Amino acid sequence: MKKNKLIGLLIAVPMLIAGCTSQASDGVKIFIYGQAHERSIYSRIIEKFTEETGINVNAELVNTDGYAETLTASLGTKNAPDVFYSNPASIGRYAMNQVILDLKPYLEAEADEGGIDYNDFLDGVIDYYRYDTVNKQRGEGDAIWAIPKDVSSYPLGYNRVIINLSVELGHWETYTKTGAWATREGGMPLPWENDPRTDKQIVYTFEEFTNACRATKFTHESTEYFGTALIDTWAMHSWIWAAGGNWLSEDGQDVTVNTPQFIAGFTEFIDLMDNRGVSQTREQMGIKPHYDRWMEGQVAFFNVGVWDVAAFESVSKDILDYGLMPTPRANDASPDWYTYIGTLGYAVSSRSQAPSDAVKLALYMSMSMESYNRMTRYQTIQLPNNKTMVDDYLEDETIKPENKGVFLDVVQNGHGKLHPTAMAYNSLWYDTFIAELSRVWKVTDADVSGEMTPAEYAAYIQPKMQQQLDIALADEQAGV
Amino acid sequence: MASESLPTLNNMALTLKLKGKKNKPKHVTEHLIGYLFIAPVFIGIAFFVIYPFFYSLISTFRNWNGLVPLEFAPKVGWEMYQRVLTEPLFWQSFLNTVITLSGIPIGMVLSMGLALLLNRGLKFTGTFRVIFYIPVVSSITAIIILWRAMMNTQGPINDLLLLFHIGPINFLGEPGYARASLIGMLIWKGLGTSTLLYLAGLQGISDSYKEAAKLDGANDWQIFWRITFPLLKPTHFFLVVTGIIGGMQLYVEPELLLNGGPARATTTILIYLFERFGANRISEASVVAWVLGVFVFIVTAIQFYYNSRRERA
Repeated sequence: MKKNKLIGLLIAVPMLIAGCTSQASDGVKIFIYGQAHERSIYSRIIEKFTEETGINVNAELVNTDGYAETLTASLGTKNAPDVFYSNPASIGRYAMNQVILDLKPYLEAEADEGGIDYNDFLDGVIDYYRYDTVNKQRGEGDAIWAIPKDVSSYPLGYNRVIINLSVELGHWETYTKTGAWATREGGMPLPWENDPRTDKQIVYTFEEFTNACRATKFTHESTEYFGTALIDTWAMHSWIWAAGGNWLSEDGQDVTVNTPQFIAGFTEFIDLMDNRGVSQTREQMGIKPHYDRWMEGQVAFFNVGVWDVAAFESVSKDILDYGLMPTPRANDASPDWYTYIGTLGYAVSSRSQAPSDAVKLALYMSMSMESYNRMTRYQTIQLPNNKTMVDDYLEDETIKPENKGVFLDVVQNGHGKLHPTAMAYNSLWYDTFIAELSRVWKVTDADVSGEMTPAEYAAYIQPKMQQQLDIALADEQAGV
Repeated sequence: MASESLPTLNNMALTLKLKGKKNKPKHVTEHLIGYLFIAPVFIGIAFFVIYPFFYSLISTFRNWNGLVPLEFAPKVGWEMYQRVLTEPLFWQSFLNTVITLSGIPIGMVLSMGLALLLNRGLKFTGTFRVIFYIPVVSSITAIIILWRAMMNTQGPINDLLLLFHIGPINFLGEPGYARASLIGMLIWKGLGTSTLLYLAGLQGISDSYKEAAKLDGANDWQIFWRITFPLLKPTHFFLVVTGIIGGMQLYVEPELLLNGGPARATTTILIYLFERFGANRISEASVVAWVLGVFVFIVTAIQFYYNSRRERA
């Protein structure tokens, strides 16, 4: 009897260990992250998908903490999820290492069978997920390595309450009746007004935007209002791109942060934040973050992401009556304005036992009417991915904000660029720039300037960035 | 009654011994039973320590991204070591980590002082022990929020400094102050544990030594310096060794408090490692782990060597 117990023990230990690692292989496993309210939305869409298709889904919906590490650890194993998030920055690595499937045959089959047609994605957005594994080119090649979960843009927003107050107090006219607007009654057009020269919503130049910020930086009835308060790491790209700067050379081989155009845009942005007295200072930011000031109606101009809409709509219009506007252009000779496009995609594991079902699920999560209703119409956390739904989105007055077309201008009309992290095989080269960015900041109000000027910083950081880019390029060539 | 009817481990072993006596020598059966009892732990160590140990060592000689099995990663010899060891940021991170170790002696002096005070049998000693230990058991997230608020340019520390016409100082925004703030927080957080350890050490010193010294005319300072301090050597040794091992693995506090900044001033070696991991440069991360492990091993070995030499002397 006791001998049997011992033998049982010996068998039980390996079984216990094996039990810890086994998993059910029923249906499709999706592993994605989101905030609590987003996870709730995803669950409902997945339930609806199962209801409509009969395909079982094992949904692992988590928060962002540790998502990337967990995914990386599972991708090379049999436990890899069928569907998971990927972004343009990681598509190259995943494709080169064959951990994801080329979705194109499955997408075409789905369209041919009368399912969701991937050709209905917003124009060009599929290209963010192309990668040519032979020539190592992003946005090129026939293969589609993921489909967009969302494509979002990050234009500027204005708070109508502060701007109207500025007009009422006479600040707007005082600071903006200059240059092209010197003879115009009331000064420069308000951000929601059309430019009389183009009959389109006005796009301020760098100088005009500074004037608008000056006009909205004042104290009234003991409340301090700030012209702007932008988060450097997200906002500076608009100024750099508008000035003609770029992070990498056309061929992606060289870091170009030390070019005159880049430095011009970068300097303009840092001056706006630190040296013109129009923004909340870094010291003040330590007390109350920019976002909180904006939400409390103390900042006139602030970036608005699509994902912010629900939160901004929850604030009383007496405090935050916001709308969208283009980011500034450099000057009349450089009329283009740009902001960055953020996108996340659904990829399918090359180890998936049910790739067709996995692609069906990804398409449903991305492009179905159910996902549009839940993620855009009832509560806006993303733009519609399906171009057949764009008109409905623009015409539906219940979807906020009113001039939401600016979001689509960024994505569809050439005013958006992919975030720099998507430009190379990994993002350590870009992270190098961000990690020491505080060297150009006035960290206390008493500082006369930052430790370095933007030009000095660009010269200092470029070789470090280039070293990281070179490693990334070498790894890409080696297919690692 | 119940204990009589249920087989205990002892009589189970006895029964097995008796049964085994027929065929095997007694010590073999005893050893077998012993191995069976330690088997779960041994299997655990083999799977979760020894296997990853060699796996990570092998990965340092390949260019592995973690996306494919290690055996498919190209062999690159010492290239990953070269990449890491020639990168200025690696050495900066290493230096930052070593700088934070300067908090160890400061913390030891402070905790020894507190332990000496608590050992004098003053009133409310128990209450103070609890107070000093609160940071040890508090959530690190709560501590970080507290320290961020304290060190704000308009926080209570700056308010205090302003009374002396100093500041305001951006403790979290300027590299030098940020390092000092981090070290300060680490000392504060670790004070409770080291104070209790010193207190235990002090209470283990027999009063007869001090009384004998007093009879010989020694003053309080001489008693402390010639008797108390040397007899606390095991505690000093323990705190230095664990402090260095823990300090070299510093990650959560600088990451949450300062995100490794400003200007990389608090990027520790583990933050550097995780950045490589996040970029799928797993082999480089493994190299960092090995360099860190070897460094800690050497430092600890030196300490053990000198400690044992002093003990022999």
